[in-house]
Amino acid sequence: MKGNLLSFVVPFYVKGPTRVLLLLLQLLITGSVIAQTTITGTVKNAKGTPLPGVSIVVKGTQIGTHTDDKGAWSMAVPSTTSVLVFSSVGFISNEIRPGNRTQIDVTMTEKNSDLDDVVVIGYGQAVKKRDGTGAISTVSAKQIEERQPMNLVDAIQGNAAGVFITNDAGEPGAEGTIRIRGNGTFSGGNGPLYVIDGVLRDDATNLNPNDIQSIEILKDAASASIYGSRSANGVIIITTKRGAEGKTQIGVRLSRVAGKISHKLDQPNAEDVRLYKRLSGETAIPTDSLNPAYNSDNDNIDILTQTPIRDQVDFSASGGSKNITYYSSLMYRNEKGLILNSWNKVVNARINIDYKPSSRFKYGNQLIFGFKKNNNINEGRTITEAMRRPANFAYYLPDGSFTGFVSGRPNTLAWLLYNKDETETYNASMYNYINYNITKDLLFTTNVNFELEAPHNVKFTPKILSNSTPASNTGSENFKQKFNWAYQAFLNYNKTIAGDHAITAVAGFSAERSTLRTSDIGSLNYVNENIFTSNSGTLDPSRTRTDGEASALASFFGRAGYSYKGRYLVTATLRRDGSSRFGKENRWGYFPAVAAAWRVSDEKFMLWSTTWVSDLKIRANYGVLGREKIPNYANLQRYTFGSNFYNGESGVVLTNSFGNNYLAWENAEQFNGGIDLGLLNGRINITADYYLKTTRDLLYERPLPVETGFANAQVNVGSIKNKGFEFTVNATVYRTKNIDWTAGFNIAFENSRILELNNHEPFVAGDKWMVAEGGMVGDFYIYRALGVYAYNESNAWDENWEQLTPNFDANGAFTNYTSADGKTYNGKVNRTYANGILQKGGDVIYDNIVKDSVIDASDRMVAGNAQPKFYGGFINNIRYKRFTLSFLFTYTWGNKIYNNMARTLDDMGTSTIVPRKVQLYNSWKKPGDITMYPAVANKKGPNFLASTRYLEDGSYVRLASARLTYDLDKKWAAKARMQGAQLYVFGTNLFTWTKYTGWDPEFSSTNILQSGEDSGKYPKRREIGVGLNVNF
Amino acid sequence: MQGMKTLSIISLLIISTILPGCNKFLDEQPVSEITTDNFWKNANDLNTGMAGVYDGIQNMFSDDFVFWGDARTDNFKIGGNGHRDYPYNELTSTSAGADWAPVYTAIGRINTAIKYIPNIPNVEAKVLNNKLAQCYAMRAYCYFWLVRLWGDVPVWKEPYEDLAKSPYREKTPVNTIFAETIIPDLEMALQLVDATNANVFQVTNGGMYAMLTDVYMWQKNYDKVLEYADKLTGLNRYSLIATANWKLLFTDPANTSNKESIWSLNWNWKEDGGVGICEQIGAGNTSSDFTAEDKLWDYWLVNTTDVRGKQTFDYNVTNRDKFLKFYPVTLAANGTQVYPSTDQAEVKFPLYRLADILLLKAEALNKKADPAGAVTLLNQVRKRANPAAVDFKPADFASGKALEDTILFERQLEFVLEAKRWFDLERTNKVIEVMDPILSQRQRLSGTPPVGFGDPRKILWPIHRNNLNANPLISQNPPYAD
Repeated sequence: MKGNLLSFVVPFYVKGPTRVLLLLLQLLITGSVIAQTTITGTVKNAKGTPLPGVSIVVKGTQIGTHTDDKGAWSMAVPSTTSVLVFSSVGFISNEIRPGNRTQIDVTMTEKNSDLDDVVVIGYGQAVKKRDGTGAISTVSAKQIEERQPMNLVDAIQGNAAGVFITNDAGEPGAEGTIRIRGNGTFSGGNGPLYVIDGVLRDDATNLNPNDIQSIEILKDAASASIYGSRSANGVIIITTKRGAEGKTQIGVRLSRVAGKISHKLDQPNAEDVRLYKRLSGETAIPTDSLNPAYNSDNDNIDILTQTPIRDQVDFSASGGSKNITYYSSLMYRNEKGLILNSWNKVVNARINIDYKPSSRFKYGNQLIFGFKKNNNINEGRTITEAMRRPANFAYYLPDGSFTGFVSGRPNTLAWLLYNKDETETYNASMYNYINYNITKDLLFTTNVNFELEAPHNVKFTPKILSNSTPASNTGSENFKQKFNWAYQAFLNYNKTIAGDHAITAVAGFSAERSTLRTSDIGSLNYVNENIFTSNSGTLDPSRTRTDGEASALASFFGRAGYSYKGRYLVTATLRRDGSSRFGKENRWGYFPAVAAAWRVSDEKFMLWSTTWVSDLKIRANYGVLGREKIPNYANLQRYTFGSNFYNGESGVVLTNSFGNNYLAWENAEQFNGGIDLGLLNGRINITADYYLKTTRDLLYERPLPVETGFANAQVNVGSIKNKGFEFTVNATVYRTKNIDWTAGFNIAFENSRILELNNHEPFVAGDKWMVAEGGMVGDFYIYRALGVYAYNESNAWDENWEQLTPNFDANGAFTNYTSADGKTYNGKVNRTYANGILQKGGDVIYDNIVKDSVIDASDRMVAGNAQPKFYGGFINNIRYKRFTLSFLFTYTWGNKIYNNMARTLDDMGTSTIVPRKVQLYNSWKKPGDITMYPAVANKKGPNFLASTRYLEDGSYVRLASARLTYDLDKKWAAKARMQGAQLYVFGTNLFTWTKYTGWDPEFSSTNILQSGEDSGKYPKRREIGVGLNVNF
Repeated sequence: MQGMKTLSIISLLIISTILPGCNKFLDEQPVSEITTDNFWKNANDLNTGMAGVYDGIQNMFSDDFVFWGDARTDNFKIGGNGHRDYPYNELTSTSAGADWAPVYTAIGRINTAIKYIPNIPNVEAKVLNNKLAQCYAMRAYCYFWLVRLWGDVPVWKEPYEDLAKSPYREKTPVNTIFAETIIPDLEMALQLVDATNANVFQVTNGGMYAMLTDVYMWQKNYDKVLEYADKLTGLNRYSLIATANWKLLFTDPANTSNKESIWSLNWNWKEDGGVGICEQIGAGNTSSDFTAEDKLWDYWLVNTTDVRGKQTFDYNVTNRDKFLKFYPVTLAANGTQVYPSTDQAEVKFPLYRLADILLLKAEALNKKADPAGAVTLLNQVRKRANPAAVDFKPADFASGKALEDTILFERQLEFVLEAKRWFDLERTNKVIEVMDPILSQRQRLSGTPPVGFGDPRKILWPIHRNNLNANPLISQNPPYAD
């Protein structure tokens, strides 16, 4: 069978003389094994459980086998002096001389330490964890499995120090954000570079987390700089599962998850709405019994949401022979979202095949196919509208038809039920590689990847939602075609000289190009409301067009490393990158790095401590990284057209963005110092890192004064300094035959300061963030609210702007002022004006920083920062017999959140929006009231300025996930022809301890300079699920 | 070590062969746009570039025309869904309309056109000059809007083309802008213009005379007003449209029976999409943020012979929040107006028409102590709209102020939603006089303290926070707070 498969594959992929060579090799391999002595045996672990899949190799030969599912093995051994090597992932390797024995039973010991695990560092290079010189966090397949992750963000959260994860899980298919080592940049695209099986990408959206074998997060410059121009925000290397030689392993996983909003906010009901009307001085409160605006009492959130349910099936098969291995998986997910009528269906399929006809030649490929169909319901807008719609507005009229707009508020329920906005996305990628050993030490690798993604969106708003008279329908169809190709070729050199000197090197080049084509077709007045192609409607030319863009990158890179006895380690890296996004003069950038490490524990003078210090390594490195995530063509001044018609002529106009032909790379220079410490024979492992990262020539979209005719320009300007400290400890807390408890804790401290800005000019980003030299990114620049004037007369300040206390006589008439020292004040009384109006009782008192009578923009101050002081995770895995409990706490501390949802609900600027109950019930109602909430009747803008009234503490501790697994007894499993089975229950986002009053303190901000503003879009879910994993 | 050598040789070979090709590989040109060195090269570029300039003026007015010209006046009060900013004089630095970006975007396009049009080869000088004339006139027009809305503003008269130069400019005083930009630009335009051009969708010499009349009226230079108003009528191109055709001014300004329109902006939803102000005037799927103020509504309830009432407000909509003035007459079976949906709404902005100039001239004559001349013009416009009206006589007016108020009221009736009312109040210093009592009453009714108009400096608009943030050399117009 093996032979047949081989001869089938070979002619298919290889041609010419090589094919002949390969066929010869095949004959050599299959013909050379001559049995001499046959040895049999079983392999078990310390608990006596048989271990399947243990590799047994005759040392120095290619002769080998694997244990079967009962741990049994049998092999012909050429000589009695041969050495047998037993190895398996997670176990310490055993070397045994069989001598004259024909029966060898082996007990394998589990590794305490992961120091022998291999860490992938890119371009075909991998090092043992003990030999690394950089700051790299790893997440293993096992850790991923314990999380039951929806996406990559889920899989990493809390598992890696210095990796700040914002999990937006809430909306179906939401991806969340990953930020490594602080905000090193000003503009969008703060995310890391992803390298999935060697392919460089900006995202990892189509990846099934269950396909991941390992995740490596390169945090320091020396590790990341091999990826040059795109590495400034760190690099995440993802390796997917590949087949292993041996019997086919089949895995089936089933899970079902249900959720609910974890923190539902209290909304004003109809009675509260009436109170609001009374307090606002509306004398006539309408009672028209037929008017849909007055006579309901709805819980909008309940009406517009449903119980989200997610079903997922995963199937995988892997295995192979000596020459060909494969891993194949199929995932199907059917998800019902939180918002009524929202759903999402995903199918992902993957085939990874590696074909190795000889010891020198290897060919492989990865084929990925994905299909996704979802109903694009804008969860954010729906939730926002649910919060804004007063409880008394009806959704239905008495005859059962929908109410349309009621006082300007749309009928969201009708839109959820009838509006169509569906996207069907197909994506496929094909990756091919060849490895060829030119000599024993020199390996040539070349690979090429093609990737295509084609989303197709159909929108349709039927007549029932139209409030035009006569009713009309409208729709559109949008096609996108994203195509990317990437080519790489590199040489790897590995040589150990005289046993002690290990040399590694890699050098190569790569090129890639991405193109995007879009076409939009807008139509209206569809003949039939079930047919959405453009022939059904009348073409709407103003919404019909095609468009496109493209970008290209070319790179050369090299890295060399030297290790003496694994005790002294040095590496050096250089990369040269060119990008089409930059000006011609500054197109190419160099990215060098050097790193060194010293394994102190291997020195003679440390021998005394080996009993308790098993490993001690000191690392230091320095490097330069780059960033190029800016829009295409920002380096060119352009004229655009197609949407600037006048009087039948298509107008040609300059783009809003100014083209900057000097545009160049953003550079991040980073120093990293670290220490790795293993204690008690690896039972406790500690890693600590300190880094100092200075980002220069920051790329950002500088707002230009619109008076120039342009809104902005991409520029290289200014610098930011990030420093931080990361600490990770992993420990085996307790281990006996029945109990196994491991725990991990990590924490990261971050501090980023702005060093330099364009012309040293501070500026305000958005409307409430100060960006100033010496300041921090995310500084809220707002008014400080001190309270609310109790009386009209309370707006009185002495000559030094200290507040005066008004006194009243028995009839409540004002008599005089006393100053803070209790004395009667007869001097000049200052008063404050906001927007030109004298402030009165019930108006907010703002800190009058510029001591004048006007409350204006110059009275704002930096009142807090959106960045956390520290964050991290705490993980525990506790096994008792066949039960395993794992749980993860995540925490974030010391950041402020601006609760903009609260402000927009409270500000009473729009007549129909009812303020939050806390504002309504605690508002200033009569002279003398002491409160922080202004009078409802004083519906003036100045009371709702961006102020500390809406700035809240964003710290939280969260039980992010927990899982209880039951491992079915192998004996029982075997009866059902299974190798193993696991049954589990799990939950995510189970408890949160926070003072924050919005939906959730965890949300992502797209604009770095405007971070920490919660617009109230994403209520997080709590999810509970059950699942079953079966292996055959 | 042999391998190491091979490795470096191979790498060197690869690098030396690939590197030269790379730079070409990295030259990505835009797929759907063109770079600057490929434009302003021929007659076609001249036309499409000019369409871009006019598109800039369209963008200026698409969203803000009503906010700027009518929303703050006694034409409208708050609607069910409206924001309080305009009807309660509570503008802030983030109110819609406070952002001057669309005006300066138009100016940027004009400055670029003025720089490059003269160098276009193989096009007759006469053609180039006529386009340049339109550019100069529109630049003056843009600055005229800017100074009326925000007072002192930064001035740019050349395109911004080099990032190495500071993009920041301080405000220039209003008087300097009039003296050095608005009036010289209009005079330059008159020198360059092709006097035979009578396209109502372009700025013609008629439009230039109209602008100068309007500008001098703002400056209270009544001699100049009379001079340019007479030059306009002297063209013998314009006459008031017939009473029955009044609607054509707004729905079909290019109609041959319309000789009143001087400059209208074209709008076609199939090219331009729905016009933004349909949110303020009402459309098939939305009502206005505003409702008709009692005074106007009631005037036309009584004066039913005035053709303007039913062609301005929709008297079938008792909420008073739909304004049909700009929409073509399309009637449903029950006889009510059918409104286009927001994405298909078109407004052919009437920027200048003869009635406007005649009434301005009437005001100027009144100021020059010629009430008889003023009343004649006033009657022309008034009787055109309401042939049944009784003619005014100079003796009907006790004072110049009484006559002025009557002319202004006629203008209010004639130009609802045409962005005239607010500026009429502003230039005649009547904002406080007219708006203070109305605002006090509105405030009382809504339960807020009746502070009236408040600080008179609030006649000017606040500068949008984004504009302030982007230019450190300018500061907010006092007394606006944030």
